Amino acid sequence: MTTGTTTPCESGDTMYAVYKRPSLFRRRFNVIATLTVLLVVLFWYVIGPMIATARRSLSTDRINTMGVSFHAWGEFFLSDTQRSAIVGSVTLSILSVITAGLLGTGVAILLSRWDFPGRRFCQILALLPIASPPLMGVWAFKLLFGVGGRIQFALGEWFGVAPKDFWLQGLAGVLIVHTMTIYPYFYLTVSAAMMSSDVSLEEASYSMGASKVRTWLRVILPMLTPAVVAGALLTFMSSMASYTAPLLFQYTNVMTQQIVISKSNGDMRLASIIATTLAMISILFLAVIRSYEQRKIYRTQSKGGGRQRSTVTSPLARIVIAVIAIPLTLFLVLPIIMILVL
Amino acid sequence: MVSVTLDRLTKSFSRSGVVVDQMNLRVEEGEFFTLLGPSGCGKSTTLRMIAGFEEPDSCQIRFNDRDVTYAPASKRDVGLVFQNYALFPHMSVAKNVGFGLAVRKIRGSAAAERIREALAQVSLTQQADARVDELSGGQQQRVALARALVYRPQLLLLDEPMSNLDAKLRLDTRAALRTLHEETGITSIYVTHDQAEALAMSTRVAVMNTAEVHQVGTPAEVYERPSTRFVATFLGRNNIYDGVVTTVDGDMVQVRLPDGTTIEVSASRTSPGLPLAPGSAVGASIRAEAVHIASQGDSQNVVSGTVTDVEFVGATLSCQLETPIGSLLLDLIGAGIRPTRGNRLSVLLSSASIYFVPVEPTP
Repeated sequence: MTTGTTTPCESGDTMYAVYKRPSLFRRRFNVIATLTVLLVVLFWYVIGPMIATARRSLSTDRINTMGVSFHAWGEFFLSDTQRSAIVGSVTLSILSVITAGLLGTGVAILLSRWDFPGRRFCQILALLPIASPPLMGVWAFKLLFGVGGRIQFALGEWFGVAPKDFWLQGLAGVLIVHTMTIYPYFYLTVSAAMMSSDVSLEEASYSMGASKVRTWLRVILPMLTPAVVAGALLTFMSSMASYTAPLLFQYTNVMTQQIVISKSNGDMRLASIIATTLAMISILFLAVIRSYEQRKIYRTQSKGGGRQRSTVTSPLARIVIAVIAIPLTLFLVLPIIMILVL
Repeated sequence: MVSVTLDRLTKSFSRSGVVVDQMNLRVEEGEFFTLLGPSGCGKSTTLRMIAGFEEPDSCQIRFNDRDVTYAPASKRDVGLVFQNYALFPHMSVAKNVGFGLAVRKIRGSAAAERIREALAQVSLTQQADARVDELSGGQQQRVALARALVYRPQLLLLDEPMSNLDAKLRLDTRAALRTLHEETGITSIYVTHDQAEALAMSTRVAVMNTAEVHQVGTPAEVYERPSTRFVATFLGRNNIYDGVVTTVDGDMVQVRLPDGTTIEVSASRTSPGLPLAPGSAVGASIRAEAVHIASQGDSQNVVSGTVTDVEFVGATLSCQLETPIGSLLLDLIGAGIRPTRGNRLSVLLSSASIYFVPVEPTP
């Protein structure tokens, strides 16, 4: 492995070593080493198990892997329970994308566009739910919003309504957990886009006579679409894979629950079929989003001269925004506080 | 088209203090007016106040007789071209150009016709359906120009539109902009720190420094008859020597420089309001390109010195001389001689080329 000091070459009185061009392996050593490690890890932990699962789904036996048959796949697609679980998972994921999208985008705009006392604190707090531990986190949600939920008791006392009419169960319960734990994906991508957005684009819009509403609809919000799409991808995939929320809110009409149910019934083949289908739906969604991203990447146009975002300076406006943003942020981290209190 | 009047315009920021101080300006209808100054002199802030993005502390801004001081930017009917182009990346070239038309409810074939016209004006007809990020910097700047002109605003504001272009493209765009101004006759206010652009394109120039306008005049006026010392040093390469007037004889003024050399200057070549009586302190300024190699017969206004630096810059040979009156810059254009470092040269400061400017205020 020596790069070779072969023939010393004499130049005047000084001796210089002559260097040969290093071999391809040496020149590409870093790439080859990284790639090897990556491929081993990927295969061992990701691709290998996926192939094994797909293989088992084609087994002729319910428990052991043997032979090849599509018989069980046919049964799977004919089963009302399974079809309903597929629709349920996809519906839940789409609903989660919508609700988490609205919340995350809204919070991102609120916290990145206007300055108010306590903004930095809120920006940090708003990220916390992403660190919410799965089981404990969902349990906290159940205590807060579920049957006998403290939020409903509190609201009931303030507004004089019966708490039991507003207990969140089943789909609604799962949805609120998803919304409030997954929105940081949107919050992260959208606030990054807001922070790097160029104020001169807005100014250009105003200078051409556009109203505030038109500027928001035609300039500011469209500029956020790539960020929203990226957030949607993460949200969709993690909703598809969500397990503890449906478990604790006893919502079995999703694929993750069906996998566990099949497993405990001893039907490993069916569990593999559902798992494979779930993976394929996620990959399909990923592919669709990727092709969209390929077509629509907004490269930053600005060179130099990007202006600092103008922040709200009127004291009244600052207070109004603080009054909206601070309680909202605190509400979002309520489950985390709940875990700490317990 | 409108005239623009700024009446005692003042603006200060909490962080940087006063950026525009008591500024009075009048831009006439159809003028190409340039605000020229070093960065941080308040020229961009002035433009942003005219556009409606900054609110002045006090003053009145008028378009013709209409007071627009507190009118929102969207109600001023101006076209604005930004340094960073500020094109909408999610829209095609044609959509970008059509934005201002859509705001004005001009749609369909009427809008398409206007967009085509505007793109033809900046020779970008081919690129109408292209994505903005497929264009080069120069093309993007022309789209920005078309976008600002297509709805025929009454005033065009340009904020350092060429500072992101390379030298060659800058010359082309400069010519294109001048033609466009001649064709449309739109009142234009141009902000730049590049004196070549300012001199080449403007009807009139306002030279600014540290929140103040130093001089307003045609490019020739500000270049040849600078009214303040700042204007004299900011435009071109200038030599300024402070001295004291000894005698005034008709048109001829004798000035004694600190080292004892006496030079003769024409009395007509002075800034207005600068006293020229025996004993008054003045600055004698002469441009590097107005300094010539002395001929055999010259004796008055001749100084000799040693060449300390020579720079070949293409059209001229820029030399620096160390002389008894101080360091001296001279640009030799096509002169037969090629001085090198260490040579001795005698140069003539022609009395008709020297211009009086105020002395440096003693701090």
